[in-house]
Amino acid sequence: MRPVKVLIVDWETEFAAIVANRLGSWGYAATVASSKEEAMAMLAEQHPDVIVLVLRDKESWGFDLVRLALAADQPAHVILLCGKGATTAGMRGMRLGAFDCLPLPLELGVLIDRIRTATGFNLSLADENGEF
Amino acid sequence: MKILLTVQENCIAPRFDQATEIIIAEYDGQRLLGEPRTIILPHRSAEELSDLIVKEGVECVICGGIEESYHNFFIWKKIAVIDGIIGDHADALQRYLAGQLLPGMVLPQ
Amino acid sequence: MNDTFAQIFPQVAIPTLLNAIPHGIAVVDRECKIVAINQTLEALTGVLLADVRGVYVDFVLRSNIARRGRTFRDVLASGDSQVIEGDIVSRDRRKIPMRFTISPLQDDSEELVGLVIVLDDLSEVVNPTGLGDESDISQSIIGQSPKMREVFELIPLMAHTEASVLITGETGTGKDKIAEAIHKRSSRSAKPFIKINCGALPEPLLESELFGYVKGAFTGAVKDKPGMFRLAQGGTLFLTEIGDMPLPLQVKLLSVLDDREFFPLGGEKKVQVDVRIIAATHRPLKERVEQGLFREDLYYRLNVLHLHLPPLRERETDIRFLINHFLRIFAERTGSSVKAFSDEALRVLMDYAFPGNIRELRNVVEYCVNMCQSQQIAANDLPKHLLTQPSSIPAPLDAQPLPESLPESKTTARETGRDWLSIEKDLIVDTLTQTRGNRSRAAALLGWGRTTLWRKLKTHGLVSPAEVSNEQG
Repeated sequence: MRPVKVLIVDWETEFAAIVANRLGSWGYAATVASSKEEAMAMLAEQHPDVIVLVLRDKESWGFDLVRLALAADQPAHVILLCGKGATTAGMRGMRLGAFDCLPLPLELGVLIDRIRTATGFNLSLADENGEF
Repeated sequence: MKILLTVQENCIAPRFDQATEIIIAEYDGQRLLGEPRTIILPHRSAEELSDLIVKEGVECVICGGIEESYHNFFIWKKIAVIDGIIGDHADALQRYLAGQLLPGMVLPQ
Repeated sequence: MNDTFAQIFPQVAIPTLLNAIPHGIAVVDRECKIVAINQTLEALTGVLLADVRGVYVDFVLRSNIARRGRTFRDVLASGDSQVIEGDIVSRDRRKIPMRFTISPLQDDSEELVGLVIVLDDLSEVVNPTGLGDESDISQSIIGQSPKMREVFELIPLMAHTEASVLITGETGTGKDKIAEAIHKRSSRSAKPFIKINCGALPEPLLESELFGYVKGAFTGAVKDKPGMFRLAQGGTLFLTEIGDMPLPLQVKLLSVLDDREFFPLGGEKKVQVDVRIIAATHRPLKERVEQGLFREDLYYRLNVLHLHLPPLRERETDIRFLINHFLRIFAERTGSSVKAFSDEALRVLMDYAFPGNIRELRNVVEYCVNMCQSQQIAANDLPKHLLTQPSSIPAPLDAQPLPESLPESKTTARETGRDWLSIEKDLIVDTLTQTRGNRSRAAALLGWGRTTLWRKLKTHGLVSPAEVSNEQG
């Protein structure tokens, strides 16, 4: 049995840290990345189950990440958090295959609900031996 | 009634205008309605937080330090403000519901 | 040299030393939890050391530089001091610009055991002309106009007595800033300046804010809590919206001012009072006295010195100056290309009555900068209510300057070309009238010793030759 791994990607480190902290107290193994490079590296190393990607404006810095996450050997579900002005980016992310797009300010309960749905309602996932 | 608390991990956040984590709890008398909601703001902004408070129909704000202009704005809008609180946020909420929370209180550690 | 003292100096009570320094000081351990704070910091934050030992320091400081504790942890990790500029929110809800000097503390074996954080109040530095950052702007003192220059001239004079000051003026005219300026120029400047809004809180809350309470005073009072009078000890207490203070509290306030002591709620031990009172109101207080909403005796007690801040519409040069100032600030902040107001827009602004004074002007300029798409703000870009307003709007009913015909204090800023001597003479005469000739009480009200008053009476020719010769005989 292992906790669900969540990688939070946001160039504003404080927001990501708070979300990670809160998810942590809900039993998730949450880590943060604050740049594309860092995120790609962590994606490859940690194989997170879910990536929470924060889009704060029209820029599309996260889309490579979305594609990579979905194309990886162990694909991660991508949940987008869209700030003001980033709704179009959010919609584009959905078209690329993101699991969901949530508005900011973030309702933690809603994020947890989406994570649960994405990972099939399992807080803990089967480990390599298929055991829960 | 809806009560909003500005928090930092387990405690009331030091300052209203620096707060990014908030909890909104809805009560019918002493009875909690639904689950308290934790909301994380994408950046610090007293203006946006004030907007949120008004839009959500919050009736009481429990917080740390708050500037007079915001304090007066809420009072004017008939939103109670219990400011200057130092302590655990769950404790603060319980004391408020028991009618025992006053501005400036330092709760026992 | 006093050898004994030199020997015992290391053991001299640290609190005494810390309390002698007029800066807020906090000493924390390696977990950034409070080990000690001095009296200056107690006054700034409204907490007593006894209540906050072991509390994480930023819950008490309420700064914007803590970064959730990272700032302090960085100093603990590196062992290098840091000096950072930021601000705090004080117990009386003011945002005060501060310089934080955070230094590591080592024990005998050079182990890092904690930090000492020193707070430097930067208000004077940041706001030399009263302009400061945007959040202070609505209360800034802009004083190019003749009327404001008179106000400025009175500030040091008001600062050098202990007498109560009543500041009147419409909302948004800068009463808060003036009160603080008076405090800063006074002999009490190293001690706290505490502000409390008497109109915002319901009566029971206001009472406990002013006078504090003792442990057990009511359910939930788990500790003693100092009130604003106690926190302002040695300094200045600024009571705003005094016109809105509930009557029962007016009674209590009057007796506190007279007796110089009070009981905190639920307390049995009296607390001595040593504060200088400045009060402010936008209400026409004399009318409220007539309506029975404000006590006449309290009115005279507060109104020993009177300062009236003219509304913005009576300060033409200041309006232009402020327009340009705000335009610059907001254009820069929003990255807008707006450069100026059109002549027509300016005309509308100069004609407008600005019932909300400086605060309203600031909001109007901010609105225009946000709305305007081009480099020049036209009359069309102005908020609609400015355009539909008749240009000669009758002055709002709030705070008319106290009419000259009333016998109370005539020391207003509106009298041109008067020097301090003539103002002082009127002040003495008014005070003696209030005390019905009782010189001891007059001296006390004015904050002078009896001999000082006597000396001034002679200077102003207010004593009869018979009395003078009695003195000399």
